[in-house]
Order: sequence, then C-alpha cells, then structure tokens
Amino acid sequence: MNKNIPLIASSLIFSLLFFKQNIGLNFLLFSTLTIALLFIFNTKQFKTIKVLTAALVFLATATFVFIYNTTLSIISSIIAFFYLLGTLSEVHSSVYIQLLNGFFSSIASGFSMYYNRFLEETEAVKKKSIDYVYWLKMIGIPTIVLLVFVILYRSANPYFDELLNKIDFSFINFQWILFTTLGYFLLLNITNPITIESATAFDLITANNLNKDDIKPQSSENLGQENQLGIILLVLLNMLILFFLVTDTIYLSHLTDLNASDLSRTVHEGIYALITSIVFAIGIILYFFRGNLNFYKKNKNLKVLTTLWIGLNIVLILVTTYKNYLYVSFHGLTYKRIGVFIYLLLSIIGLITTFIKVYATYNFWFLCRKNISIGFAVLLISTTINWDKLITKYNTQYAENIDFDYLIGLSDNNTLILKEYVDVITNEPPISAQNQITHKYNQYCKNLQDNNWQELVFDNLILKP
Amino acid sequence: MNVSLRTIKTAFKSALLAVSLLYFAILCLNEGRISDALPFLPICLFVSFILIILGVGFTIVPFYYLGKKNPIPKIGKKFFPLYAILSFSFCLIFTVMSGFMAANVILGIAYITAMFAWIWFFNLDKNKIN
Repeated sequence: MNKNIPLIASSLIFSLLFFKQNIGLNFLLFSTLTIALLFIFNTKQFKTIKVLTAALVFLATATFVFIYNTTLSIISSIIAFFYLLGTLSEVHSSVYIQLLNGFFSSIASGFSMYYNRFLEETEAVKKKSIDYVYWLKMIGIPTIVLLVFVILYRSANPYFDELLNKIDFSFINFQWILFTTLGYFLLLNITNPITIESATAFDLITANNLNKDDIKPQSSENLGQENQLGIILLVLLNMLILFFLVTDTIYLSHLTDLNASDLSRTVHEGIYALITSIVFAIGIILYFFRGNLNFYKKNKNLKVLTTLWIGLNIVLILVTTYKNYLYVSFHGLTYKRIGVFIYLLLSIIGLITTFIKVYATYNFWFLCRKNISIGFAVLLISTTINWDKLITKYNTQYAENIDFDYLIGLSDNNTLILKEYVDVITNEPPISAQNQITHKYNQYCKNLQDNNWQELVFDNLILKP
Repeated sequence: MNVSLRTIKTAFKSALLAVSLLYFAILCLNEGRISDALPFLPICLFVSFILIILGVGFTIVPFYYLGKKNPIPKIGKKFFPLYAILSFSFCLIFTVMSGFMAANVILGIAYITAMFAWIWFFNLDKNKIN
C-alpha cells in the first residue's frame, strides 16, 4: 500500500479536528486515529503485550483529556504517546530510553530517514526512484476527467449545480495549509518510529547488576581508607540528622501555635531543606557504593550505617509530611501543597530504591530505570484524578479557612461543585464570592454550549442544554 | 574540504532555504503580492547568511571537532539525535516564551533550517562524489 495515501488522509483529518479548535473530543479521536495508523504500519510490533499496554495507556490518558481537559492530562497524554512510540521502536529498552526515542521519533524521524537515505543512496538511484510520469498520470488524468464530468453534470442538473455552489472552500488558506503540512510531518514522523542508536544499544547491553569484572581494580589499602571515610562520614551524618529530628519533633508540638505566615514559612523552608538533603543523601550513598566498595568484605558497618541514614531520612520525610498535613488542614489544599505530598512520596520511593541498590549490589542504571518508571506511573495515576474537584471538595468541607479567590481561579472542572456549594450553603461564602461563582458557572455553561463537536468535553454530556 | 568552506557552503544553502520559506510565509500570512517583498530579498538573504554562519559555527562545527576521528557522515549520524533534540527544545522554549503567532512560524523555519544545515554540512563530500 502506498504510505502517502493514509498519511495525506490522516493529515486532512488532523486539520479537521484541530485547526482553530480547542482541545476536547478531537484529542481522543486523534489518539484513536494515531493508534490505528501505527497499527497499520507496525502490525508486527503490535503483537507484543508491552506495545498493546502502551497503546491502552495512551488511549486511557487521551480519554482523561476528554473527561477533565486539564493541562496535566494533556501533558501526560503526550508523554504516554512518546512512551508508545518508544516501545514500538524498541520494545526491550528501558522506560527512559523509550520516552527519549519516542520524543526523537516525533520531532525528527522524517529528517533522520532523509539523512540516512542521503548516506546510502547515490543521486542516480534517487533520480530513478521518483517516477514523475507515473505520478503525473495518477494525479493529472483523474483530475482532468473529473473536472470535465463535473462541468457536464453542472450544466445538466441545476440542483447539482446549486449544491456545488454551496460548497465553501474558504477555510483553505495559508494557515490551513501550514497546519495540514504540520499534521503530515507529525504523522510521517510517528509512523516510522526510530531509535537513538547509541543510547538504545548502550541501554540494551547494560544490565541492572553491578559486575565486579567491569570495575577498575583498587588496592585493598585504598578500599579500606574509603570504607573508613564512609563510616566516619555516615556516623556524623546519622548523629546530625538524629539531633535535627529531635529538635524538629519538639518544634512540631509548637507548630499549632504559629500564625498563618509563620506556619507557611516553616513548611516551605522545611521542604527546601529536605529537597537538598535528600539529593545529597542519595548522592553520597551513590558515591560510596559506585564500585569496589560493594564487594569489599568489611563493608558491613558501612551498609548498616547507610541503612540507618536512609531510615532516618524517611523519618524526616514523614515529619515534613505531617507539617504539610497540618498546613493543609488549616488553610486547605492547593496545587503546590499537593505537589509537596507527591514530592515526599517520590522521595520515599527514591530512598527505598537506593536501599535496594545497596543491598542487592545494583548499578546506577538500576536507580534510573526504576525511579523514572515509578515517576512515569505516578504521573499517569495523577492524571486519573480530578484535582480541581478534589481541592474544592476538601477545602469546602474540611479546611478551617477557605480561600474562595483561589478556588474560583481554578479551571472549570470545579464549577459544578462550587455552584452546588453556593446553592446549598447560601450564607457561607461572601456575597462577592457568590456572584463570582455564579458568573463562572454561567460563563462555563455558555462555553459548553458554544463548543463545536471537535471541542466537546465530558461535561457537555452532563449539562445538556 | 576544510571546515571553513564547508561552513560557508552550508550556510549559503541554508540561507536560501530559510529565506524562501520566510518569504513564502510572510507573503501568505500578510496576503501580499509576490513583488511586494522582492526589494528586501537581497538584504534578507545577506542577514540570514550571516546569522546562519554564526549558527552553524557555534552549533554544528563543535560536533565536527568532537567526533573528528570518525568519517564525517558517521559523525553526523552519531550526533544527529542530540542536535535534533536540542534544536527542537530550544525552538519550543523560545516559542512558548515569546507567546506571539509569528514566533511559531519563525522558530519552525529555524528548526527546519537547522536540520537541513546539519544534513548538508555532513554530506557535502558525498554530493561531490555523486
């Protein structure tokens, strides 16, 4: 089958779906079209479970774009799309390489193919391969014959003539052509998933285990000194963190007495310090367990101290989580505060994978693979949650102080719940907030009504005019 | 062919490409006549040539020296993904930062020109042989 025909047809559909339209149903439809195209051009790869899973994940994230229509869901869907392309290009590579390959395929697969052809073919062969007469015949003759018959039929039938006059091609302008070309370029790129050869090859030959033979040998004297240095450093660091935790716990009991600004400052400063300390902690552990020390017979104490330090860092994270929880219970949820919870969760996971790396003698690439995979999974899971609705629901039900300006400023995903809140509890929000909520609701209903079929979202199905 | 000559040749070809794309884009977006912008073409070509020489000199030539031990087309193939990803990210970031419509077109043209400049730079000898 000529590849250009489905690609041109799909780029026309791309224009129909996205040209001068907002994101909505079109994103889901385009995702389905993309998967169909990928299936047509890469049928063999689609037989593996990993590729099928990636396709399902992409479709699921696109569905959440239709349901929630948030920036997060769109970004997740684009990343899931890179993952699908990367899985198609090399099914056995790690997630981070698949994401990189998917991104590279999307932006430069066409150029890369052209470049490779440039390298491989001679000019003479290239000239031979393009049969201009054939294409002239295939496009020119049918077009001329079709035009002749259209002219004949128009003069024969006034209704047919009237119908043809009604067809409006005014949408075809330079911008439309540019947009369609962009669609063609994108589709051309994605239907030929390629890999970054050097990175993919390195990833495929690199196992998770640390191999003693691959490490540059070190004298036992040097190793002993490094082990000693590690022990001294970790003893001191453990003592320091222990002391810090004791003072922090004492401070924690006075936290409820602080006013809003002091509490905010305390939590934020705690988080910034934590971010730095966790990065340093993992960095120091990776430094000591980068090579020969993993196989050193007298490394037991170092391992115990490392475990203790990881454990104490986890306790530090839990204390900070509690501080953030206190802050949230006073002032409600915000995106930043949810971000802090997610960061703390990822930090705990990072520390646990570092612990596994030390005890199972894995290498640095194991950490990269696992942590990026987990990060990707967390991103995908977070897409399934309607954060605006959750924030609004929590703040209106549990928070001691409700910041209505913040809630009104969120996306339209919380409009219905805010309206419901105002309708039920009429005396609570200030009058100005009530007016703003009603205005937001009316504006949202109007926007929903004005949506084209391409821009339809899930709320269009709920709020039928 | 030495690096300077290679850079100049690539820059000239790329400038022709960039100017023709830009000319076509400006013409169509402003719905003007073909002859309207003709007097500005030589100066546009000259400015583009200077900018592209700098672009090629600062972004492509370092890769040439980085992989000097390998045959030239191989250097091109090895570093092309990195160059493509960096160029695209750079153009995307500037498009988002600038936030106006013309930037999309200009940076799109810049990206396409950068990709072709890379291909031409590392394949000039090949063309000569053919």
